Amino acid sequence: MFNLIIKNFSLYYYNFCALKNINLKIKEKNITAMIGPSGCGKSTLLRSINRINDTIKGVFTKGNINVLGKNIYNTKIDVEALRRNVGMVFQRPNPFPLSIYENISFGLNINNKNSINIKMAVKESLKDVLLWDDVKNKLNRNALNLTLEQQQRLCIARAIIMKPNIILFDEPCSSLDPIATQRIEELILTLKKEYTVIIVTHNMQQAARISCDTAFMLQGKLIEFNKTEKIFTNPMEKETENYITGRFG
Amino acid sequence: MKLNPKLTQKISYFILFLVTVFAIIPVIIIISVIVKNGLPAITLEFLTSFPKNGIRGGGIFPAIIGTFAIIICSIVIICPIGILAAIYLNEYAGNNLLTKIIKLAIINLANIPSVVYGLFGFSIFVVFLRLGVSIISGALTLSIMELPVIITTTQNALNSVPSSFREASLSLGVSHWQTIRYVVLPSAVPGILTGTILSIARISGETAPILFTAAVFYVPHLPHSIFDQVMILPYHLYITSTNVPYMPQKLVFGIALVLLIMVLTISSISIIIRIYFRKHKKW
Repeated sequence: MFNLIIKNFSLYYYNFCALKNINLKIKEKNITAMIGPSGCGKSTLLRSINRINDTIKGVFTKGNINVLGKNIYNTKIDVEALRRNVGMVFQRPNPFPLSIYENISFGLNINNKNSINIKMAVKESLKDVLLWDDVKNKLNRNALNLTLEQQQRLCIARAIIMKPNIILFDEPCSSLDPIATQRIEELILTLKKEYTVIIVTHNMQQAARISCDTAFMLQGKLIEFNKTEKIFTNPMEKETENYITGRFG
Repeated sequence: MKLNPKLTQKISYFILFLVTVFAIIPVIIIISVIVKNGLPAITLEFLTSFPKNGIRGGGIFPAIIGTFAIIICSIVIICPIGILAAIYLNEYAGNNLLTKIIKLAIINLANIPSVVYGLFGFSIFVVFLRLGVSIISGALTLSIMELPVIITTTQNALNSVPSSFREASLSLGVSHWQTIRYVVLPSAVPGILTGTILSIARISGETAPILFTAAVFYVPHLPHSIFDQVMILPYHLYITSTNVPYMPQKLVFGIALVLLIMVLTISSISIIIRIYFRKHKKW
C-alpha cells in the first residue's frame, strides 16, 4: 500500500536545518504533490528520496526514509540500485549532449544486467511518453535539437526505461509554456497506472489538477498532508489556508 | 566644477584606447623585427641540415628535432598525471586538510621561477637519478613545471561541465566513476585539450628548465634514445646570441623566427580546436 515511508526525517545543511522531522507515507501508484513557497524544503525532501542530495557538500541527515521496506539511509544500501528504483525528472530538461537514442539507452547501456533488448526498450519508453512518432526517424540526431517539451518527454523516457517503482518530478513544467505544461501533465497522469509519482510544484493549480494527495510544507516543516481535494477546499491548518488562498508565497 | 559627461566619456574612451595600443605595440614590434631580420635566413637547407663552421653556418635541423622530442616526451609524462590528478581533486577529494595542502602546493608550484625548476631537475634527475643530461631529464623537469598548469586548466574544464549532466546520470543509477567516465570527461575534452596544447606551446619556448638538464651546444647526430642529450631551439637561440663570437645575426633571427612560428602554430591549433567545439557545443 505504502511504498515510501518517511520517518522522523531531518536534513541539515552545515548548521542550517533544512528539513525538520518530516513524517510522511506515500501510497503506491498514486500522484502525490508537494507544494509550498520557495525555500520551504520541498525539493530538498524530494531529492532525499533518491539520495541525489549526497552530491552536495555539507549535507547530513537524521531519521529514515523507507523505500519498499528498506531504509535507504542505511550505510549498507546500494545507492545505485536505489536510484534505478527511484527515477527523477528535473526542473530544466537535461538531456545529455548525445543522440536521442543514446540518451534513452544511457542507463541501460551502462548497467545492462538482465540483457534486455535495448532497441525494443528504447522504442517502448519513447512510445510511453508519446514521443516515438515525432522522433522515430531521427533517433541519431542530437537530443538538444528537440523542443523543450520534447526534451522533457525524453528525460521522462530516460527515467522510465529503468523500470523504476517511484518517479520523482522536480517542478517538471517550470521551464515550459502553458500548452506544453498541459501536455506534460497529461503524460504524468498516465504514468500513475504503473508508477508512484511524487511531484514538487510551485504551481498550486497544477497540484490541484493532477495529484491525489498533497503535502504542504513551510520553512522545512510538513504542515499538512491530506487528500488534494481536502487541502484545497477545507484545509485543517491556518497556514495552509493562507497559502492556498494566496495570502503569502 | 563638473565636467560635461559627454566630454568625460570621450576622454576616458581615448585613454582606454591609448593604453590598449601601448599594450600591443611591443608585441607588434617584436614580431616584425624577428620576421624582418629572420626571414632571409629561412631556407630549406636552414631547416633540414646540421650546423656548420662551429655553429656559425648551416642549419638547425637537430635543434628542431630535439625540441619535438622533448615536447612529445613531456606530453607523454604530463597528460596522464595531470589529467588524472585533476579528476581526483575535482571529483573525489574531500574538503579536508590534505586537499587544501595539495591545492596550495599547486598554486605555489605555478609561481616558482623556471630557473629553479632547472636547478631542481639537474640535482634530482641528472645527478641523483643518474639520468644524465638527456631528453628524459629535460622532459621530466618541464613536466614538473607545467603540471600545476595542466591540473588547473583540467579542473576548470571539469568544473564547466553543467552539474545537471552529472545529476541526470547519477539519477539513473549510474555510479560516480561511470558518470565521470561517460558524461563528465567527454564533455570536458575540448577544454582539457585546449589547456594541454597551450601548455605545450609554453613548454616549447622554455629555456631555463632545459638549460642544465637536456640541452647541449652541439651534437653531431640526431638523438638515438630518450637518454641522449639534444640540441633544442630555445637553448640554441640563447647560446648563439650570447656565446658565439662572429655569429651571423641573420641566423640568430632565423632561429628566433622558427621558434616563434612553432609556438604560435601550437597555440593556434588550440584556438582552432576551441572555436570548433564552441560552434558545435549545444549547451
